[in-house]
Amino acid sequence: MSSTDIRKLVRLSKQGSTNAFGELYEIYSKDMYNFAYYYLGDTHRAQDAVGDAVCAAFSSIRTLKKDSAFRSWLFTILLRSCQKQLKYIIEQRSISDIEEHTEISSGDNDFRITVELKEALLQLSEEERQIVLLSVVCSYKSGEIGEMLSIPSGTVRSKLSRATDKLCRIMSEEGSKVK
Amino acid sequence: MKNKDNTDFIKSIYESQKQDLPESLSKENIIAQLENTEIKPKTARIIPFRKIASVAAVFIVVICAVFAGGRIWEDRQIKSLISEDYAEIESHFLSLYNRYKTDEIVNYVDDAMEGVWNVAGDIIYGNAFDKNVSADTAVPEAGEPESDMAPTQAATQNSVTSNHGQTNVQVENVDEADVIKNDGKYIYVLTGSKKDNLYSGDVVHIIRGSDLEEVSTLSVERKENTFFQGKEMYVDGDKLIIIGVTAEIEIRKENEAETGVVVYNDAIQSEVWAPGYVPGEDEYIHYGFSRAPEYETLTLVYDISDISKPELVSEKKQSGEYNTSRMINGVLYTVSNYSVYIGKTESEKEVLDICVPKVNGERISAEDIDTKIDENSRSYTVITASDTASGDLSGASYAYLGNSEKVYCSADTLYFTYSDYSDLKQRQTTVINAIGLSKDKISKKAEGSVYGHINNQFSMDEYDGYLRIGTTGYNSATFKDESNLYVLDDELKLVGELEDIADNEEIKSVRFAGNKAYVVTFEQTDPLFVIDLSKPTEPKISGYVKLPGYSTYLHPVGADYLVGVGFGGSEESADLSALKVTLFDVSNPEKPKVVSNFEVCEASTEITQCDNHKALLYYPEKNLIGIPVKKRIFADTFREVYSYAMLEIKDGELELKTGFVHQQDKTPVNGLFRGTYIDETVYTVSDNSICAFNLESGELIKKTEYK
Repeated sequence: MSSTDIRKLVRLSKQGSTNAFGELYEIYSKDMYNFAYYYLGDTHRAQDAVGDAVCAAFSSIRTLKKDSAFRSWLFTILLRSCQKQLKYIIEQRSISDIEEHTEISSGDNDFRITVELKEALLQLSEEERQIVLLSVVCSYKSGEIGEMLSIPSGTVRSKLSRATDKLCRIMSEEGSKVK
Repeated sequence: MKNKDNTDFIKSIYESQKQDLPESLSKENIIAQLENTEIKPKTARIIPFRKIASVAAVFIVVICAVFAGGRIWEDRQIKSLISEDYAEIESHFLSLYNRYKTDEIVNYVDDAMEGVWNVAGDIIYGNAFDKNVSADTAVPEAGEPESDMAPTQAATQNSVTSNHGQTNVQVENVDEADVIKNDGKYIYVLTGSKKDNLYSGDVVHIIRGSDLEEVSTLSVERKENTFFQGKEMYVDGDKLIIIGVTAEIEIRKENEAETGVVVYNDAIQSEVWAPGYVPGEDEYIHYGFSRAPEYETLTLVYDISDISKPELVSEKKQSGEYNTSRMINGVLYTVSNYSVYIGKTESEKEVLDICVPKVNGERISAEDIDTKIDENSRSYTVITASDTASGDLSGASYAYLGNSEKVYCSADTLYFTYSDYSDLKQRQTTVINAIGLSKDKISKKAEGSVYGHINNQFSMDEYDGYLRIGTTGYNSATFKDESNLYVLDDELKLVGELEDIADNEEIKSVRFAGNKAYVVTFEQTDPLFVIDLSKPTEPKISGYVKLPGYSTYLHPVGADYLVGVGFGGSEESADLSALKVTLFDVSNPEKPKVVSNFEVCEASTEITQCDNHKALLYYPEKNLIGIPVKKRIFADTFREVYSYAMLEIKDGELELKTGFVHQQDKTPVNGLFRGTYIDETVYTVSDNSICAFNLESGELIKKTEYK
């Protein structure tokens, strides 16, 4: 879909078309869900986060100043929505419960390696996870991530570098443990 | 490289393990939920989304009363904090603050707006910001000493008789700032500073045109714990004016690990600190911004009458990030956008402290602030006047609480616009504010609106007391784009209109010249229209010509010719990787003609990409057009070639006069690439070097890397 088409859909959405917004949503839905899933490590929380974000985005679509910035705007809202869900998780359970919880929910999954990526991600700090997911799931450049998180792009690059390093180390340790 | 490998590895694992979308999040289910969600300018509270079995979730939308927040503060008798003069503004922000604190949805939507605001800002600044903070390992020096070199200037413009390149401006005698300036003797280049320094963008290299010697290097003196980044500059007589953004930063020193890598520390990494290396010191340092740095626009005026000793004469600070500026008869008008980051504040007092924009730390007086408040207003447009020629910067100030996007400025009026969607049943409109400019008083003259949205500053033009504006609207009944041209009087009342110029076409560029307008539209046939505006009440199409591709910038050359810079392409679609320069013969408005084309495949230029008209050079005495061309070559290895094309309009044809290659063996750090000239010498200027070429032969005379 060309950027012109996206701008048109945004304009239509601003005029109240749910179908146009649905089309927009469809473009990003998979990325949004995966972002939330790996961020929160829980499919139910991820669905809540995406649902909240989509509704918040639609109801405030007219505050979006630059139509072409729709995607980063949407993901910024999703990011806030995920942060909120994570806060709920932390409020409701102790940290050890989270680990237990993620182990339980990972049982839904047949792919052991998925569990590894998800669990490895959960061992990162929240900010590191944000940066890695924005880079890996959304393919944002460091400058764009910096804008979304209000930090300089140089900082994003050094943090991304450290986080991916850590992630690879965690996953290789996990892998060797299994062997 | 290692970083990239890791990222790629994680990406490949992710790709193999991507989760499928759960049924509850399918497009259909989401649309069903959206049906119950209203779009509103008002605050919405949404109960968290929950999946109930696999059926659609339940959504409840609660609309808060507009002034709910307002009542809270009244109840709590915060009223006493509010000063009479600023009552409207202060109560608005206190109400916003209370909403923010009590409503999480507003909270994160507002946060998201901050992100988007930055994105939008970036577009306004031509992406200059990213380039400047991206120096990865660089570091600020705390309390860096004064620059040991200084800029300069020699001859004043008046005493220079040579032909020399000037910034390509929209309106004659209304100068626009740029990253390079040329006064006929010296070329001034605003670049990133030395490689090992975090704050690039704060050094001006002053190069003598005759021998390419760097006669002076001006580093902007930085105050302790302050970030400064030069955005653009002016050279006016014996004054060099640098405009940039500044923000306070915090600096922390951290212990250095034996390996030379900063100790990984969870306490630190949760904040926005990054490690860096202090040049000349064996010590790592962490620098960081607060989450939403409070940017201010800083104007610095240097006396360069002694080119070897530029001297800071005066400076002025105004709230907000730099948007744009103009210089008219020695008076500088600076426009900044100030967003009040309510999310950062922790008390009503703090809100009151930041809710009114300031100049040099003092609130702008209430009578100079206009407001158009809706419950989400949080951004100001701030305009100040400074008499930079005399060095006395205490000119008028003005602020408007309301959005602003595009800025056009005539000799005495500044127009800024924003898109308005406030009434759903109405069509999208562009609201225009006309602000009268003088050194001692800046005030609002009129406000008006037209249907559709505009592209950039060239979409507007003032002529003979009328404002003309070209817009594209989207008709939601027919699902079609509509391109329109409107004429407004000095009170911004509509007096003439020409709607739906081309069927389902979107305006790509507009240029006004006297009582004519040239409009390029795009979608199916990509025509250039000539529009007759000699009767302001009855604009009409004189003629048009169709061509493949489209121009994003139009430049009139004399009365008979028009140069278009943009993308090439076929009848079916535009080829966004091909740079195309078209010469139109518009001597007969009824039958405009395409006379010739200059096309480079796989090439691009700032003009096509960012609407940056300042990248184009016009040499009127010789009828030359200079265009920086960036070309990507994927031969054995990937290369970026930075070359410069001088096109000549001669005997009604456009041809390549000379081409110059600035550099091709390495990828430049970032994108600054411009050209200029003094008489028979063409200069190509990048971030790290300047080249001088003979205009006629194309021969390289000299290349100098900056100090």
